[in-house]
This record gives sequence, C-alpha cells and structure tokens, in this order.
Amino acid sequence: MQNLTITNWISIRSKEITKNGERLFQAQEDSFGKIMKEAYRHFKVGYPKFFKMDKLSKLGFLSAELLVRDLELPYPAEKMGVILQNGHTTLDTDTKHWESIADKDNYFPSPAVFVYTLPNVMIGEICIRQGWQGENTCYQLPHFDAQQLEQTVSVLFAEKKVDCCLAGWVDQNAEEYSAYVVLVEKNKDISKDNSSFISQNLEQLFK
Amino acid sequence: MEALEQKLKQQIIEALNLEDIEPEDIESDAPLFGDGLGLDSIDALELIVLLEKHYGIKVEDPKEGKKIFESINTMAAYIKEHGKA
Repeated sequence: MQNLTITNWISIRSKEITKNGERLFQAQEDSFGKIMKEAYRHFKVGYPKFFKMDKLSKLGFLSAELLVRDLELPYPAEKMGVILQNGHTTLDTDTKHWESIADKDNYFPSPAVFVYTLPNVMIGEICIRQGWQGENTCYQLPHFDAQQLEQTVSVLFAEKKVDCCLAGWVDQNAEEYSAYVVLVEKNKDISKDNSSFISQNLEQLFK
Repeated sequence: MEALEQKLKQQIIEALNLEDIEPEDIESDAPLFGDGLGLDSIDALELIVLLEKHYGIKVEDPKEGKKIFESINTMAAYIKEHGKA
C-alpha cells in the first residue's frame, strides 16, 4: 500500500486563484486573456515567454508556477512527473490555426500558433520552466475524472517512475476555463493541510 | 527609412507577442536574436511570415534569413530593396 499524499493544491476558475484553500487572487478583468495577464503581473512571474503561449498553456503554466512557488522539492528532475486531464485539448488554438489557413488567398499560418496545437505542449512549457524531466501525459476526457487520475499517478509511483507528481485538470476553450491541480508526494505526514491522494479527496477539494 | 523601422518594430512586437516592450525599447542596430530581444527559432519563422504577409517578400534561403534578421536596420534595408509595400 503506497502512502501518497496531496501536499499542495491549487484551483483557477471563475476569476479566482485558490491555493491550499486560501484565496490568493481575485481578478478585476473579465476576459480570460486579460485575467491571465493580470495574474502574471500580480504574482510578478517574470517569464516573458508566458506571453507567447496559447491560452491553455498559460493556464497550465500559471497553475504549476503558483503551486510549486516557494516549495522545496528535493527530487531529481527525472523523477518529477506531470499528469493532466483536459476536456477541449487545444481546440481554441486549433481553430485559430485553421482560420489562418482557411482562405487560400490569404494563407498565412503562424508558426507560433501552430506549435501550440497539442495539449502536451502545455506540459512542455511547465517542464521547461520548472526543469522537470519525468513522466508526463495529458489525457483528453469528457470531464475531470478523479479515479482515472488516482490510478494513473499511483501506477507511476508504484513503478518508481516518479517521486513527486503534479496532477490534475487544466481545461480551456474560448472564455471557459478551469484548472484543478495537486502536488502528490510520497510518505508525507497527513495533517490538516495534507490529505491522502485518493479520488474521494480530489473530488472533495475541487467540488 | 525611419518610418519603416518604426513600423517594423511595432509589427514585430505584435507578431511575436513581446509584452512589456515598446518600439522605443528596440534599438535599430541591436541584434534581434541572442542577446538582443532574446528571440528563438519559432520567432524566426514568424519573422519570415511577417515579411511575406506585410511586404510580399518570400525568404527561400534560411542562410539569407540570418543576415536579414540581424537587426531592425538590416530588415528595413532588405524590405527597401525587395519589398512590394
């Protein structure tokens, strides 16, 4: 029996960023793009490449950035995993790319848009920023599936593929967005701030 | 020429999403890649698209691109010589 623990968690939805149950940020802006920019400036992220990312990557990047900020994670880079779920994959960016090539007389596909037409690129942005090199995958599912997440991440720990894993749901399409992300570590004490990494607790955290 | 340089700076900022950078922050003779604006390979492709989209210039030879995109000045000079707009 593995002793896997949710040691930190974050959610970004409805203009709010909440970490470990505490509201960190309430956006003044209304549009998703402006909310991301407002949060980036508020938290003084200082990573100009952020602005070049597509919307989904911005959401995933900020979730990871704020989740692990100020944490000491004493794990080798190759043992840091990222397992995410997502409902719309990169539909928003796919559409943007399609629009740029739909008109044969005005055919200017943007390389900077095209490179974001895969949800795994979001994970790539997270890993580049954090220096993580472990197992990672983004699953496309109709909705957040706590059981699937628990099973997938547990297998990675059981097979000693990861020592620590960022896991959750990051989804965006047009102005709809939601991110629920946890940090899973092994053999940590269960306290009022930590809870067992089981699907019921995931559902409870992000209900 | 100066008007073209200004226009280019604005177009580059927009095309490459260079938030927090104003046209006046870009020196016309400073390198665009490396120590300059810190652009990457995807940005280089975007600059090629920018030339074609706004100035009707097709850069076929990647080696040529290295010289063209050295700085705002070199881009402007190339557009002057080869551009349709």
